[in-house]
Amino acid sequence: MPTQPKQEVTQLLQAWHAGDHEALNQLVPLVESELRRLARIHMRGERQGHTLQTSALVNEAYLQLIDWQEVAWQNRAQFFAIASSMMRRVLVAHARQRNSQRRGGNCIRLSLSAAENVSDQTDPDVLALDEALAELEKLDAQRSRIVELKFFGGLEMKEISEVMSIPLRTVYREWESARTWLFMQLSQE
Amino acid sequence: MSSERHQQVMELFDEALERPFAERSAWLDQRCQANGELRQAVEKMLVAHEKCTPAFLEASAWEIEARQLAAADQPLQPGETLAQFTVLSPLGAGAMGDVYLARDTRLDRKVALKVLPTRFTWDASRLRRFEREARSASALNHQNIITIYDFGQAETDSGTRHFIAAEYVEGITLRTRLQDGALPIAEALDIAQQIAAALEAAHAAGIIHRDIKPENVMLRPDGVVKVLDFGIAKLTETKEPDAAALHRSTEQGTVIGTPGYMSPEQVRGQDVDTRTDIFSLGVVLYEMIAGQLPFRGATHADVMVALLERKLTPLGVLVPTVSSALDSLVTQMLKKERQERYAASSELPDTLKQCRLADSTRLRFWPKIKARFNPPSAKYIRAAAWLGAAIALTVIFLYWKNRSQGTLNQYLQSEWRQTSLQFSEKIGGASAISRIHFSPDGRLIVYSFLNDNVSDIWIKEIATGKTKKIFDQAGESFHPIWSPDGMNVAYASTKAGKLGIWAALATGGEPKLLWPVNQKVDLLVRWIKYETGGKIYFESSYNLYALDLNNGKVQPIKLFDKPSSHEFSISPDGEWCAYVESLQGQRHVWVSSLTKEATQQITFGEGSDASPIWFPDSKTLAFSSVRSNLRQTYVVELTTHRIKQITFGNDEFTPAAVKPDGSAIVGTLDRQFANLYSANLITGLEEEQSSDFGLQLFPDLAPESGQIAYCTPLPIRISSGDLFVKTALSAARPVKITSAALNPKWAPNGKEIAFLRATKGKYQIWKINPATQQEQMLSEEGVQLRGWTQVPYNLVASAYNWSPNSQQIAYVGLVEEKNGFKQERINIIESSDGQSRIIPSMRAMPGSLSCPTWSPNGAILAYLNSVKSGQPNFPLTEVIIYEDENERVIYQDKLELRILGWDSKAESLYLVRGSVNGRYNAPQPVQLLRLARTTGESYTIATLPNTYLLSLSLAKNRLHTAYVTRDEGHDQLRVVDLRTGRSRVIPTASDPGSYYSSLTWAPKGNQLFYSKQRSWVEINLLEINR
Repeated sequence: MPTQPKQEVTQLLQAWHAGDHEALNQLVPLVESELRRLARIHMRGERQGHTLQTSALVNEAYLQLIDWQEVAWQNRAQFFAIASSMMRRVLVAHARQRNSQRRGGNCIRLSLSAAENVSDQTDPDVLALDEALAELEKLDAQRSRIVELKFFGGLEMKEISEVMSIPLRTVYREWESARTWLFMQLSQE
Repeated sequence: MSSERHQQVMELFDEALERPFAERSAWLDQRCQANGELRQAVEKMLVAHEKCTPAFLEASAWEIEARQLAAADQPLQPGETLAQFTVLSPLGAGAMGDVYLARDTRLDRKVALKVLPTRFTWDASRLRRFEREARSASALNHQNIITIYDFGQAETDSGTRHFIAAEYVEGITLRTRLQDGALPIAEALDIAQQIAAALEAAHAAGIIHRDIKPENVMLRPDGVVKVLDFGIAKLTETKEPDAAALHRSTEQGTVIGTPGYMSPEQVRGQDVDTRTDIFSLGVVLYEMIAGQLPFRGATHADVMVALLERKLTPLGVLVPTVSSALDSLVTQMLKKERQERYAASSELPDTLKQCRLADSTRLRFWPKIKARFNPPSAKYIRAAAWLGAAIALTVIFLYWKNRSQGTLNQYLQSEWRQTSLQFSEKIGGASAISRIHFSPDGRLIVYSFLNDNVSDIWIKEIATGKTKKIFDQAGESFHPIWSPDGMNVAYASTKAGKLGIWAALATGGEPKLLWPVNQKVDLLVRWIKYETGGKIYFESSYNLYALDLNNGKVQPIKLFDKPSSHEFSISPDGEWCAYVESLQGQRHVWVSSLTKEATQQITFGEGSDASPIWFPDSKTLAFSSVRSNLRQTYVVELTTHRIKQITFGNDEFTPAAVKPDGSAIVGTLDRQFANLYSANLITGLEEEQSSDFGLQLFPDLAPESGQIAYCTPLPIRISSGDLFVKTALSAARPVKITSAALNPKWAPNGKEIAFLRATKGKYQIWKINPATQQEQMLSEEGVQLRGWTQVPYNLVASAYNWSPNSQQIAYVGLVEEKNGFKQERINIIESSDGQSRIIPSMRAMPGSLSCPTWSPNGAILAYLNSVKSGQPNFPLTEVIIYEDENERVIYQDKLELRILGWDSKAESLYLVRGSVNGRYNAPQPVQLLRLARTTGESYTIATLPNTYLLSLSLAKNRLHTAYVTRDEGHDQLRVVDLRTGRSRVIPTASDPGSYYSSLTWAPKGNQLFYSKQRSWVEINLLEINR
């Protein structure tokens, strides 16, 4: 019996959470199709002169991907915490795959100063950010977690505050310092 | 760094951020104590924070990946197929897609296959717009436009891919050619001319390229240039009429086009028009010749800032060998403001060709003329730089150089001041005083004076201002000149019905015929006494001739191919002739030897030069020119090339003659006032509405609010005035809401004002919201305005009108066909989005259209078509009704017609009928007609005597019409009742110098608004300030 995509994603997530690393590789193409759909939304949104809210976009992605009936976790906050970490892996894997497929196999690593391109935003390269975030993890578990939840998980500040059980004001403060630290790391290249 | 140290730094940073900026340093001193390393680490963070924009990490990884995915398309490999095309090899890659050489397997031919990036093809309607544009460009079948064979889409592994199959052009792109550096000027001009030819054809068809750059220009080995990618920029276009666009474009990166080649309006995200392509071509031309871009920067953002703000380094500064004409053309093409930019796509290929020919002639001609002329020195170019590129002199006559060595020119050294000599009689019309000349002793001036269409000759004594008319004889007398001894005045006259050159004593007496003319004499120029005898120089059919007074023989001196006014002026020593020559829409001063084959252009650059006149030294000229906005007077010394502007006011003085001692210049000022008035039709009370100095014309009343909109142009440029809005019948101050406007019309809902704006000989309809002052161009194509009369000021015919629901505007569109033939059509434009709908014309005989007039319910449109032809029964004016998508002629007339408007039920149309014989401002009997819409039956309501045909204005209640008559030399306002045909006089103060014009009704019908004009000519002196 063919599994529905939603069930499949949820099962893969649970398998991955249970220690099955192969589940990640199977997740990538599923996430990719969702990313393609998002890409279309994104392009239309951009043309109309406004970009979609990040959290709305990502929440929608989760809704598309995950069969909430099957989610065995205790609450949504806990799920997000785990999902963010997982999505980070999936997205980084996706970014790596995308880069390797690029023309000539060249990985164009956008350093921030070179990111000034007429049609590109000053987006950090996802791979570069993942590496910098790994550095931050070694020094600062709490701040790196905030970044992971926000940047990879797409959580809002309030949700981060709930998931991590820290005051909202602290989330804002530490997000700002973490963001600055990462910016410093990336622009040193 | 340890984790503890990191935590310490982060916490200090968090705290520092919460302190005011000014206190941070002291606070850090306190917190870090002597720990310099800690402090440094925190400060480093603070510096990074300043640089880190709020947008950093704002987008989630999801968004970034989704966007990257959207942007990444997989390249095709050789052998891969897309529909019937097999990829052979990649040809290039660009932002707008990868291009492959491919084989069309069905037709077995090579094509260039462009695969569009997926991110530009999500939007089907955008794709269709691009396709339509590209197809129509291709359909022009122009030698310089690439032919598109096919548009299509095909499924691939990575989704649907859209592609364009086009003619495969063997050759290189201009970009490749430019990699070897700048091109020879002649080659650059040849390429630019071919690009311009492509643009000319596309623009004539209403297609804008939007992305002219070297990558989009192919050079074939045989020299043919092909322009690629017409309309492709439509795929990425975002319309952002607001000021936020610039911010957006740099912050979020949605700017389309290629930085460096973009026009300022593209950078700003504004609507583009044909002038955008001209700008981009200007950049390409500049780059081809200079080897560098005119506006450069390290980053795209810097380039865009440079485009918007940095002043252009003239091409001539980088490449001194370019001609001034080319230099100024490029400067014109690169004007940041569209209104100022060279805009005539249709003339550009020719202009470039002329530049190219001039360039090559110059190169060939130079060695030959070098013996007689000195080439321009670099020193001179710098010396003339104070006038910018406006006026430049190149070559000088050795003759003058030899004569002037060591002397200073008093005319250039001097300061000049303007003094008024007199007010002439209040007379109608401009240039009623002309051809002023000083007597050799400088005591008297003589001039032609035109009054009531009869020209006489008058003499005035400067010291006393005493004036007398001489030679009071039957027939007209024109263009007096003095005999060298000052005893006689020679003039052209039609005495006894025959044209001849006559002379008479200045003191009076019987004139004698010097020479019976058997050719037309347009203008006497100067009487010179040579050792061999006297000669009178005169102009005939734009050529210069000399009459030898010894033998009566006429000798041609300067003959021209083109008929255009040359304003010849002979130097006092009788050796030189200065004149004005028109080239490419510009008028420049030239000087030519009367005895030798030597001719030289004196002024260059963009401008309209006029009336060159000589100083007594025969090596200095005064002339007037419109170089910026207003006509001013300049002095140019031909030996040193120095130029001095000597008038600076708003007067627009027209110099006519230099006093023989060189101490003064006499000239004329056309003085005009036209102020807004209202007349209460019940009480007869006339009230001044606006009495600012200058002209206030073409008032229009808002339907409800009682706001009045009007324009305030300068007398010589009616087409471009400021647009003011003011509350009528109040002391409220007028508010200027925009400039460069003509003929404002309130939308019937009173929310917006439409107006015409002239840009390089083309009118376009704009609209403005008077409250927000936001304006928008509605018609990209030209609007045919039939012009206006000046005394009094009336538009010759209405060119556009709002629909009653304020949603649409009907106008007379002017379409320039490829062959240069201009055709008119009635267009309807949606006021909200500028989308044009064209009335399908069934006219077999193309004519002049005018007066598009909506019925009160907006369902029917009436307009006029005037057909001029050599056949019998012509000229003919037709009244055409457009109803239920059908056009029909309901009435024809051999006389001139104007539509006044519909009756309230749209059952009949009110028309005005008269015989103008080429003079729209001549009062005449005018018939007021009512025309039945269904049958075309006409009924004469009234015949109005001595009426200005263009003055009639229908009241908003559609029951009355106001008009102006001229009785016994006075203008008079009248109102006719359309039901009875009875007229009554509106008592207003009027004198012979007053003219009433541009009548418009208040909504309630109890007030009439109009412009009351006074005009006269003033003779002024410009004197050296001693």
